Amino acid sequence: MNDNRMNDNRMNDNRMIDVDHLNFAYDQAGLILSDICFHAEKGETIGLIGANGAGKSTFLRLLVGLDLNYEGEIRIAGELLGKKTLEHIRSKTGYVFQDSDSQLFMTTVAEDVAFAPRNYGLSEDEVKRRVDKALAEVHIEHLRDKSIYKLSGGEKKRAAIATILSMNPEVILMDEPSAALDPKNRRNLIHLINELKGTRIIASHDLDFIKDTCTRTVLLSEGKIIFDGPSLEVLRNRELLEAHDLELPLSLMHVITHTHDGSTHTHMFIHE
Amino acid sequence: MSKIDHAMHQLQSLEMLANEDRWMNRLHPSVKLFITIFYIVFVVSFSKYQLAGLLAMAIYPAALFIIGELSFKDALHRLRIVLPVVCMVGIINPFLDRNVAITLFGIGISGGVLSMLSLMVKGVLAVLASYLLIATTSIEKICYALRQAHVPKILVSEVLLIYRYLTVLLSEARRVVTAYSLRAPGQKGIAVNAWGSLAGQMLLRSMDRAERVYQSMCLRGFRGEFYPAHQGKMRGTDWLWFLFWTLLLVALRYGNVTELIGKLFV
Repeated sequence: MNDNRMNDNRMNDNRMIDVDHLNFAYDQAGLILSDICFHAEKGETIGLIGANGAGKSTFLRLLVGLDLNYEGEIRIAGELLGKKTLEHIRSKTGYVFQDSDSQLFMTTVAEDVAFAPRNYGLSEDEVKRRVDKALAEVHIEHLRDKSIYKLSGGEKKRAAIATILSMNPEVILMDEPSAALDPKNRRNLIHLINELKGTRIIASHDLDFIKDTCTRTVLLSEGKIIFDGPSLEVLRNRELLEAHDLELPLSLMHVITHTHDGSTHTHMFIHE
Repeated sequence: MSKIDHAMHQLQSLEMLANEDRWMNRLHPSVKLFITIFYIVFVVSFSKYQLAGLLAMAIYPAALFIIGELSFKDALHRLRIVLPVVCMVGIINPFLDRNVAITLFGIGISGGVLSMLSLMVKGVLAVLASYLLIATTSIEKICYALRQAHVPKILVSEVLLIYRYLTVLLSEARRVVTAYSLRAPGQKGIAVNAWGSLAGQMLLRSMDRAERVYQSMCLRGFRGEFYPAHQGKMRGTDWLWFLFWTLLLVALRYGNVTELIGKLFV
């Protein structure tokens, strides 16, 4: 591990997420996450990368307490995650599912965005204010009364983000946010994520997306943190990425294809 | 469009209809729910030979179709499976009660025929009244009205969750059936030997998806009770609507209005 912050257990006022020696297994078959030590500061945007089965989604799920059968410690804003604190921690943590259809279940966009504030007992005026603000933040005010069935993939993703923004979360966790989005919606989502406030952790296979949204990146492989540091440092490290079944982001590659002696050759270079 | 797609489309269009900004839709949900229940109870309470009085109760759905700007044709299309089933109730009554109850234009009509017709009309009117409620009131508002009526929150949550999971079940069924039909070109329906595995797949996938939906709800503060948008206090028009229909329905049920109208022409 290349970063000293891994072993730093000291509490810090600026620290939003603190994970110490986290181990997790679904059954006796083996650890899904092994000895994870991870810290995130307020306002940081962190990319979580790794091949399929590396443990990215599991890690995010543990951060919001969707499974509490883990070993080690998870603290969100200094509060130890457990049964007693679960509700309070969830009130300040927004989780965006990979599949927006799982996140949107009310009749209209506005009803869905209002779901969390109403559950937290806010007044109807405050609910309306939060809904207006969340819809404006993701630029879908015009979809307020639209049925969730009538939304496109990109609109659904924005609406799903709005549903958690109405909670005013201090931490935003996103699981594969760019999955199944077309290039334009993907680009819009990048702008949107960069405008969001709070600590953000984005789990994705899409390394170009990570490059455009995250300043720090954590590489997970077989449940272990392999790298934790500046995004460009890991995203340019071809050997490290390939050793863990990942490939260089396309935007960092320069590809030249040419033919000589009757055969076609492709050369790939890393952009400096 | 496949049958599943069609079912999903029907469900969605009904929800959109309920969310439209029309006068009937804006009425307080508690009033609409109460009047509907009141109406169904009154309709069902008619005796089996009071067909004329029962027919007069059709004024309620007829008026609501007009005021609510709802299409009767669409309603019949949506209820095309339920209505025939409702009409089947009492179909054996003519064989059980053959005594002539009334004579109309010289033709004797048995008590069995009358009671069969009466059951049919009761069923059709009750189904139409329920349809009119859900076509003008979203499920969230109906649940709000149920909570206002002090129906236990666990029951209201069950109603809402079952309704939500209908969509989940349908969308998973669509995926499974599409995947099957793409690999079974030209085949009509699903082969019997594939039913077991497909049903199993559908159940597992629906459970998985339902679990994610539930997790998403819990992550947004769901603690077993839905909090639909507060509908505010009942306004003057809500009270007027309530009083008008309550009085009219009571008059139709107990005032023998059909006899009075009949006497006007005799």
